[in-house]
Amino acid sequence: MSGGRFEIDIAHRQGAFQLEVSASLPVQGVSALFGASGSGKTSLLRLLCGLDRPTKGRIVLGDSVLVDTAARRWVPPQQRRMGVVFQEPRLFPHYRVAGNLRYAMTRESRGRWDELVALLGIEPLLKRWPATLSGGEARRVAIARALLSSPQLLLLDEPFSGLDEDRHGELVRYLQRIMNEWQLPMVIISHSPQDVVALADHLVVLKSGSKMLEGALETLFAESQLSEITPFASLSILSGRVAAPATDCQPAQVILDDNQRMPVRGSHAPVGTRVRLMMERRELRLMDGKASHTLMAEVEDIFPALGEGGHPEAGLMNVTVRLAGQRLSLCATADYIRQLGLAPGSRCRVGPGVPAVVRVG
Amino acid sequence: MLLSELEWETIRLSLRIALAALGVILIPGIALAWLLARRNFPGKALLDGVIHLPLVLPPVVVGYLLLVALGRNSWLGHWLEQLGGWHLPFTWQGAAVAGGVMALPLLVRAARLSFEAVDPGLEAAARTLGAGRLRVFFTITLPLALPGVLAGLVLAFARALSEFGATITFASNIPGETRILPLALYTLIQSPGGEYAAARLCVIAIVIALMAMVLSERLTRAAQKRIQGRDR
Repeated sequence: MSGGRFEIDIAHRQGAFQLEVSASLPVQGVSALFGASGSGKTSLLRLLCGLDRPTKGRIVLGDSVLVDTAARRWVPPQQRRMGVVFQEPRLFPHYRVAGNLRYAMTRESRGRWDELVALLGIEPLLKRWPATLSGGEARRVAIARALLSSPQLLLLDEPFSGLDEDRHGELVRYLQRIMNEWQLPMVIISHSPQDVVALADHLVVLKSGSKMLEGALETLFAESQLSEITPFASLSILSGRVAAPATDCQPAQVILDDNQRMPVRGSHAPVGTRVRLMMERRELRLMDGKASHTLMAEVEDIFPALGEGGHPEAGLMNVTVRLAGQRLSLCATADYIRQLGLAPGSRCRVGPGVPAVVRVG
Repeated sequence: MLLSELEWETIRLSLRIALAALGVILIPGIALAWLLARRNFPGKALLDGVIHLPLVLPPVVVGYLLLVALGRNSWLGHWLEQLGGWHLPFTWQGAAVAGGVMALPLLVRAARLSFEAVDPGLEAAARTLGAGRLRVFFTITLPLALPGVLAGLVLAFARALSEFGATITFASNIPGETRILPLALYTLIQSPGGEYAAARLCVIAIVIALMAMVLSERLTRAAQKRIQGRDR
């Protein structure tokens, strides 16, 4: 199922907390619900999968109306066909791993058992009891179990919480494979901008129970709409295609949408694959024209950099530049900017370092 | 034989009536426990109170109330009579009902506590995986609560086996029909020269109670192992 929209328009009161969100997510790719803790992400997830009833509103997935309080329509969770991966794995302790998977299996998913068990690497775990699994293993089993219920949509609530860095990266790759190979729409809840950038196509930002911002992730970055949202403000993204694979002595090359080429790390994708790169503000440098390995960009704005508490940092400026359809955010000293003779509209060169491929596909 | 024919008969009758009492309250007891643990509804506190009444009322009062409610002159008793010719007062079935009513609060208390201890998050997860309410109950809630439910059943069994006041009031003390162990013991103590036979029955009561406790311990431990899910 793809192409439709996931329309959410609900108001929900829970004690003193009021959640009021209206959003329209694409029913394909990955949508992220981002917000600090207490912003209502998990409450919203419970409404979407039917574990709570909204006080008022409608939820429509594609052409099926899941909730419509005005028409007294409410589809119970077991009929919504939404796979949910909760923050805790919630494996049933009295079934082995295989039993947990079998619990969710449907007639349609029976044929995908082997594929899934291989995809998520849980073959060696099948005979184990949930209590003996590590955090990362339990999370993978929970994801496999949700996928075996033949969902039309997968909801993931902070799937990376409590995982160490290695397990985290591994799980991101598993999810990207599911995203690419299964074409299954996903909604992922996260408070980490890095995870959002690594997975999402579409982003909804929640703040104290209401929606602050919504849109396609690349557009939000390109239009600087995320600069108000602190954890995103220091991040920039670029997209392009793999132009050359990594060799023994050369990093992989990516060709950006404006045909400039740059070296990247962490790419094993074949030539031609679409990739997304993520850069921290401090990794980007303004360069003079003589340096090699730089990218041509156009200065859009120069303004004083703000430090802690919103006070200007003396002598430091933030610069936004336009590059390959994206907008990058950099930091430089006022002296250096004067020396390069930069002003809004002027051409400049950016040293991107060797950024990491964070998303494939 | 170690035991006399009369003693065997008393034991058989007592066990039959106590098991029948469990049969009477098994489903309603577990259903009530689940209701109290997982649902909110108007009158919940009242229902909770009514279930627990037999714990605080004199058993004779419970027996008398049963007589009023299920006697031949009550509409409920009349209806039971019409339905299947069931006549409860002064029959062994009546003794089972009296024992069951007295044992119900013990079963409900224990089962309710263990239902409350089951993580509702697991039930929610099962529902998102496509399981309806009944499937969730029988595959998640009940198995995980089983140790407590079993412990409650054993307690209820022991309670039904030792009921005196409600049974004698509602079902009377009829040899071979409603004279369960405590009633037989009482009868022996009342009759001259029955001290020795009474002492023997006392020992039998203690042995049965001990066996029930050991059995309950074993069942609970086995069930606990199962839900903790470790290799064994």
